[in-house]
Amino acid sequence: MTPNTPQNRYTLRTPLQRLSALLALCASPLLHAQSAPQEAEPTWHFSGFGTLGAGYHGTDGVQVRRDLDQARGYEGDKLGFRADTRLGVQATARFGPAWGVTVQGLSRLSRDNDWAPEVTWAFIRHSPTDWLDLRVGRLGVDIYPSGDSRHVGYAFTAARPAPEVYGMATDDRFDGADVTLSQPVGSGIASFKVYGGRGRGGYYLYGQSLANESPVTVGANAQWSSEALTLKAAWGSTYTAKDPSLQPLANALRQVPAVVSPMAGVRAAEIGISHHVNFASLGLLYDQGPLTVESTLGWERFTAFPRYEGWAGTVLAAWRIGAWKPYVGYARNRFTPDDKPLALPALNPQLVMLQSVYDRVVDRLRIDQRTVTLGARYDFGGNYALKFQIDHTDAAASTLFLDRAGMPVSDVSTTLYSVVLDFVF
Amino acid sequence: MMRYAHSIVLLVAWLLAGGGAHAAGLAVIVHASSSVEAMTREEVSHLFLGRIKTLPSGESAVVLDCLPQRDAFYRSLVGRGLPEINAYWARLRFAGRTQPPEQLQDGRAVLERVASEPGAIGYVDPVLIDRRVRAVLKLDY
Repeated sequence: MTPNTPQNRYTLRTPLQRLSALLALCASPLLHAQSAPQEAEPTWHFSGFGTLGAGYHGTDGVQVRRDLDQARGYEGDKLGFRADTRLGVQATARFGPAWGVTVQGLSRLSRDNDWAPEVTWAFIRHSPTDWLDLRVGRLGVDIYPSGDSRHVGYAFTAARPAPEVYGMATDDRFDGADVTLSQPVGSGIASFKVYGGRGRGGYYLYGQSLANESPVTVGANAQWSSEALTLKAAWGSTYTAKDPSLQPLANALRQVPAVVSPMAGVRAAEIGISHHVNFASLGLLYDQGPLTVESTLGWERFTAFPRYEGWAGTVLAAWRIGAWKPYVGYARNRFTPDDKPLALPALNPQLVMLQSVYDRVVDRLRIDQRTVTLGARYDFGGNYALKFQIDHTDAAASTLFLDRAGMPVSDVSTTLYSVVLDFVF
Repeated sequence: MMRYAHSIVLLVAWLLAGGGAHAAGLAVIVHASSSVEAMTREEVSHLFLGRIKTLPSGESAVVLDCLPQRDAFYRSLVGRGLPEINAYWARLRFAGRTQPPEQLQDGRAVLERVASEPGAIGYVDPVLIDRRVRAVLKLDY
């Protein structure tokens, strides 16, 4: 984990420069030469999406976050408006039937506690046939069903995708390429995608914004979609070569004489500077008549010391009654460290403090929480959805929830009441 | 008296059955010069849900929605209402996957567009169909 720096944040300035390069490339004579003759001029579309959200819960001293990538959440005993609120805009252009470009920006409460716009998508597409799709540029990591549209509230039945699943995956975009191959299988279309590039990764925890330095992101997924049913299996991995954030702890452990604690040196040797985050998931979306069922089951391993492993799952069922769509959901996640015991003798204050720091580091990402959701969506005006939602969460340990100082909380039970207005334009 | 009662029963049954209304339906149409003679419901749904972008003939498809009949069309085709279809397209559009069909104001606009643009595909009330277009699938609702 390294402190966030201007170099590893995606701010508006750099993406705009990249956007200019993309558009210049799209406007090049080479591209025009390969455009379809019947569509000499590019076709531009401008659109957007957004959410105005409000939430309240009565658990004093706890902030309920939507994901790890936010510095703040809904605070106890206060009506909050920041955690779910966001605005996105998109511009797309088609240069004939096979070429296109898409740029999308998003503003939301970030892990730096600001609303600085980010470029979430900026890519050139080439689709020479129905069965081959190539994209190069900034792209979304495609781990969970709908994970690459998790900021688009209107696209989801509930007020927000389950934080226990979607809120944990902050490595959500990368600069690189993806290739999708598709083929009819049975009554549906099967597709297989591979992707890779330089990613972004980061989160807000322990009162600070933390970011990985351009990890290498790779992944693949297979999907089958029919009229009513979509099934998806996905795998993804990010590799960070240099993360020195735990080296001060390793150095301190190395200073402990072997006669005092032979295990201290062993633990120090286990603390490296590189790590992987590996994901795998299975997803299902069923949408037929009034019934909608969405379910995702994910597994994750984080190889940084002491190595964490866990799983997360969510299921949501909804039933359309006219403009209303009541729904009920359940989400659960559990992310635990490997057992790496260390018992330093309390010979002096330094060793006592070192023991405390070690214990906190080992436990720093532990999660064990579950949420029951009840809500209703009301669609109106063709492009608007008003949602009323109640989430009751029991958390034995949580990094999604923070205390006032930005530290993880444990043994918390809270009920969040939310009203959000989602829209697209 | 019994004759009146019998008539009333018949009238109620006729009204419950949607009496008087002609059988409602939509026709999916392509350009008359297209080599596509007929399409299956699955092929049409894949096109209108953005999963494929070409007609069975291999032509690049220009997919057209008819605003007044969108709800009936998608309910008949895939069993989903407009809120679900709009949410579906929000997911695809803002995940950078594909753009939704172009939306036209009425059936005549769809007819004129399909009649003038090879590769275009849309849906209209069957009574609008003329020799310039070909119906490749009929949907009842």
